[in-house]
Amino acid sequence: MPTLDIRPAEVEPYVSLAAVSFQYHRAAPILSGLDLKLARGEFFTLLGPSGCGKTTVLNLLAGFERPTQGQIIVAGKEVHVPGPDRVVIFQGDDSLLNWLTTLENIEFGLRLAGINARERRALAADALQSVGLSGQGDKYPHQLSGGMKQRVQIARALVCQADILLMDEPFGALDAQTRSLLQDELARIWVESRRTVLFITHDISEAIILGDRIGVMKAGPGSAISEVIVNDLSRPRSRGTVNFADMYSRIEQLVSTEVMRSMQGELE
Amino acid sequence: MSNPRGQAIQRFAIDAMPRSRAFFLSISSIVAGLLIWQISATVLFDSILYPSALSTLVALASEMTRGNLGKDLTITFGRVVAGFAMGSFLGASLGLLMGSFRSVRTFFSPMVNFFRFITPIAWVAPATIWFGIGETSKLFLVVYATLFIVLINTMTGISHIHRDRFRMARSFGANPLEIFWRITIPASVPFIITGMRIGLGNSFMTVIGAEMLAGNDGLGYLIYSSRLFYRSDVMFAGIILLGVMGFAADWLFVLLRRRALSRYEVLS
Repeated sequence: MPTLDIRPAEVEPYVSLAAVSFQYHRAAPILSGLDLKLARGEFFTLLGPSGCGKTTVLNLLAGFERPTQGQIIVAGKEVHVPGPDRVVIFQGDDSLLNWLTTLENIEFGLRLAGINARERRALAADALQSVGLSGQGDKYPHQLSGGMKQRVQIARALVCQADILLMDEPFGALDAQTRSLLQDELARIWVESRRTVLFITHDISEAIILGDRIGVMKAGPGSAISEVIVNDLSRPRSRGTVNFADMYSRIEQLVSTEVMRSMQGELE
Repeated sequence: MSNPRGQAIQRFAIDAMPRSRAFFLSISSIVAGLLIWQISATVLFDSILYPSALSTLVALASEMTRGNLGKDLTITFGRVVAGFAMGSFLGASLGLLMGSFRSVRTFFSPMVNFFRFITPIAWVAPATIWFGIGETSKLFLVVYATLFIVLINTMTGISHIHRDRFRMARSFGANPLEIFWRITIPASVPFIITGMRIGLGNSFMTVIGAEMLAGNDGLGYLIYSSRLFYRSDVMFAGIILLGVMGFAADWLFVLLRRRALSRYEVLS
């Protein structure tokens, strides 16, 4: 049996989605009655079959979309629009600006925050180093590999001191080796910086390597979180341990139930 | 071919050729054209109707030394540059506004889609009535010839900006003005420049037509009026000069474009 969530998040959640429903005008509901609470500084991975509405959860929390029903609260305030306290790391590399160098891309948020050029450059250089890209600052995005581009996105988010990082399958398009390398690095960076992270993925082992808790989503339409599993594997985590394997098969069970359900839904 | 950062750029991957060979082929093309011209003119036709390459070059040289051709050339070129610059500026500005704001787009779209199909030459008559045969009517016509193509390209550029770019900027707290300035404008630059290159060609065609139909100076006037004096050699000299001027202007424009776009990956 999966462990039910009894963490202190219940006491005073930093981020809370309460009974959130979402649908586009006159279309089938994507989410209905979704509840999600995040403690400050926790790494939450959201796992689910493709098309179940994972990205919609992230878009709502980012403020790109508004819930049809329900309430989203961050640090005591209701979320209506995007804000620099919630920075998004996107799946593809389209959000990197191809007319700016790596450093200039990383400085994007700082520039908007009105930080002066010298301080900006220093902060960006630090961030660049922390994602392992020292010396690549003057390159343009098209001169970087896919994995490097995602590191730039992470640096661009980290440098801004945003409390919440919203990551939408950021490693989904990378090859397997690069992906696991970046997962390990992200885990290390998170331990160092302790941001609150909502991480969307359909990769079970990624969810386990990274998450303090793992939410499994129901198949849509009208999806919600069906199960939250506390992941107490000690960090740094490695993929080869027995505990990892146990966790993996337990989650796989839950996910495949949902996948079966969604396939049945399609057949009907 | 390589850009200033030393990165190899493939142009046409399938039939790449060394630069020296490409140069040789281009020169051969010009020489072959001149030879065909010269031979066909001396063997087939009366020199009054169809002057040879050689006699055209002689006329070109003598008219140039007398200063006539040079004056007309400068006048025409000046009209193109002024109208092209103004038309590009107006087209890009209106295109940016139409591309960014739905209400502006909805308001102007019918007008733009009506006027862009009316060839500039159709406006020579009204322009002459309104502005006379002087500079104002020429400027009006060249602006008209440039404006729409730059405008349409700018709008196309904006519609191609990936949604994640806007979302990224919003997530970092950018307001609409900052998004316009930091995302919309720089992302459309390659499209604006492509529109300008086509607009440059349109400008040349339009100014010549206008000078022929309603003018008393410029290359168009020179070409058209030469028929009255049976100076087909001068007529052809004017035509040759026109082609050379257009070729040189486009070459110069491509050079400037390469400079302007060296930051973007879309070099060509």
